[in-house]
Amino acid sequence: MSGERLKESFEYVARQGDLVPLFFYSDLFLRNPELREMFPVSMAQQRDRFFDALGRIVADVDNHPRLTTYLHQLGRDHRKFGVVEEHYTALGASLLATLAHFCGSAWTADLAADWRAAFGLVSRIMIKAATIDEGHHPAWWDATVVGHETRSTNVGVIRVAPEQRLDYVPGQSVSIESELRPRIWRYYSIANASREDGTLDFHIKVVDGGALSGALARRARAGQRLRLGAPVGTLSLDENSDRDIVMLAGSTGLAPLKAILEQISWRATPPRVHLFFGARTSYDLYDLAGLDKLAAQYDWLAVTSAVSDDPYFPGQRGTVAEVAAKYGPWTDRDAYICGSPRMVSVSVSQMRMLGMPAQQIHFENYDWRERRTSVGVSNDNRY
Amino acid sequence: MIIATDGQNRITPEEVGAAVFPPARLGRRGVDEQNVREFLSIVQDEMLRLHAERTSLIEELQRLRSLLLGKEDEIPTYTIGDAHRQAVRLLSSAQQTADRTVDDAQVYSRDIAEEARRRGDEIMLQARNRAMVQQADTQVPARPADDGERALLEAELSRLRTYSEVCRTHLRTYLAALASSVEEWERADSSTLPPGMTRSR
Repeated sequence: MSGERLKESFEYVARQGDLVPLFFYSDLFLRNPELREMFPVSMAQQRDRFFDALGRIVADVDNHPRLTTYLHQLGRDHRKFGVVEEHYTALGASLLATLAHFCGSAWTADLAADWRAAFGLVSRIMIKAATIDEGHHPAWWDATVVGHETRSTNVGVIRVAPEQRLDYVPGQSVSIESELRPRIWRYYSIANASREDGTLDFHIKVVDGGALSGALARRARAGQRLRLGAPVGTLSLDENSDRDIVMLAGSTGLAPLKAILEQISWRATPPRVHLFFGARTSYDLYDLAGLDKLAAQYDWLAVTSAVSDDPYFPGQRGTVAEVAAKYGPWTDRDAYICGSPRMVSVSVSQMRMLGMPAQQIHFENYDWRERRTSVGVSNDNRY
Repeated sequence: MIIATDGQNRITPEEVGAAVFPPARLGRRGVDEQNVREFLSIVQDEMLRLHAERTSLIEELQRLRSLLLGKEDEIPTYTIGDAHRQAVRLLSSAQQTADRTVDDAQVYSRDIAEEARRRGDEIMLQARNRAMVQQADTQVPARPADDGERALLEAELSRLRTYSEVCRTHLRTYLAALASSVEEWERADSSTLPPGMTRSR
C-alpha cells in the first residue's frame, strides 16, 4: 500500500470538489436505499464532513499513531448514528466506485488495490474501536424531556431524564438529537453536576436559522424523546489546585460553569469564586435569578452580571471580560471561561494582560474534535 | 523394549530408527514379539495423533485463508454501467434541489429572526428613551425635552468609566509586575555582580 499513491490520487479527485461526495452518496443510496434514512434531508454539511474526514485520513496515512487515535474517535462517534459493521462494506464499495469514476483512466489495478487495502484497514480500526466501546457505553442514551422553561425569547432551559445512567465530568457536553428534528445532532453542555435521579439540565440558546436550537428552546415539552451521545469535552475543575477561582460566562456559556460550581459546592472548604455572567442585553441574562439564589446561599460565591449593548442596564456595563478586569487583578486565581469563540478569545487575552499565567486559565479547547465541537454558545454552528 | 521416549510417551523418527529389541526368550527365534507389538502400538498412536493434528491444521488454514480472502473480497467491485451513471446523476440533482430548499428555508428563517430581533431592540430602546423623558418631565417639568439624548450620553459616560477602570486595573497590574521585576533585578544586582562593581546605595 503506497501512501504517496493514495495522496496523489486523492488530491486529483478532490480537485473536482463537491461532485465527488455527491456521486459517492448517490451511488451509496442507489445501491443501499435503506441507508438513506440514516441521514438528514439536506446532505450539504454531511458531504463536507465526509470529505474532511477522508482528507484527514489520507493526509495521516503514514502517521499511524495520529491516524489510529482519530479513527478510534470516529468509530466510537459513529455508533450513535446507528452505524454497524455491515455498513462499512457498502461504504467501501461505493467509495471505490466513486474514486474509479473520478480517476478515469488513471485508475489502475495497483491504485485500486491500495485504496481497497487502505479502506479495509480504516474500517477494521473503526469497527474495533466501536466494538471495544460497546463493552462500556450504549451507542446512545435514550432520554425523555421532563421539564421545560422559556427563560427569554432567546433561551430555553430543558431538563432531561436518560433511561440509563450517564456518567460525565462537570463541564462536559453531549450531543443531542430530538424527535422534533430527526438525524440532526448538536452539542450542548450539561448545566449541572451529577444528581441522584440522573437528570440533566441544558441551556439552549436559539441560533437564528439554526436547525435544532429553535425547536429545542421553544418547542421542547415534557414527554418528548431525545437521544444523547457520549459525553465529550475537556473543560473541567482542576482538583489539584487550591487557588481561588474567577469564572467568566458569556450567555449560555454559563451552563458548564454552573455544573462546575455545583461540584465546587460539594467540597468541605470551597475556594472563593467570583462568577461574571455577561450578555448583550439585560433580558439575555436568563439565569440571574438562579445565580442570585446561589450567591445568597454560599458565602464563598460572588456573582456579577455584565451587559454590553443596553444603555439602560442599571448594573455593570461592558463585555464580561471588561467588567471582570475591573475587579481584578486575578493573578492568584484560576480562571474558567466559556462562551462564544470570540468571547473566549477576548477573555483569555484580557486575563493574560492582567498577568494571569496561562496554565491557570481553563477554557473549552475548540480544536479537540475539529469543527465538530464547541461549548455552550452558538451551538448550531457546531456539528 | 529399549527405546527412549519423551515424557509424553511420544515417539520421534530418530527413536524409531534407534529402537533395539532384546533377543527372544530361550527356545524362540528372532526378537520378542510382545516388545514389537508394544512398539508398533506406540507408533500407531503417534501416527493417528499426527493425522488428526494435520487435519485440524488444514481446516484451520482453510478457515484463516478464507477469512483473509473474505476480508479482502468483502468489498465488492462495482462496475458502473450507463444506466447506473444516469441514476446517480438523477439522484444527485434531486439531492442538490433538496439541499437548496433546506438552505433557502434556513436563510429565510435566519433573516426574519435577525430582523425581528433588530426591530425588537429598536422598539425597546425607543420605549425606554420615551419613558426616561416622561420621568424627567414629571420630576422637573421645566427641563428641555432632550432627556433621551441625555440618558444616552450618561450611558456612554458610564461605559467610559468602565473603560477607565479597566485601564486602571491594567496599569495597576503592570506596575505591580514592574515593581516585582525591579525588586528581582535589585536582588540579582547585588548578588551576582563582582564585588567591585556593586553600586553603592
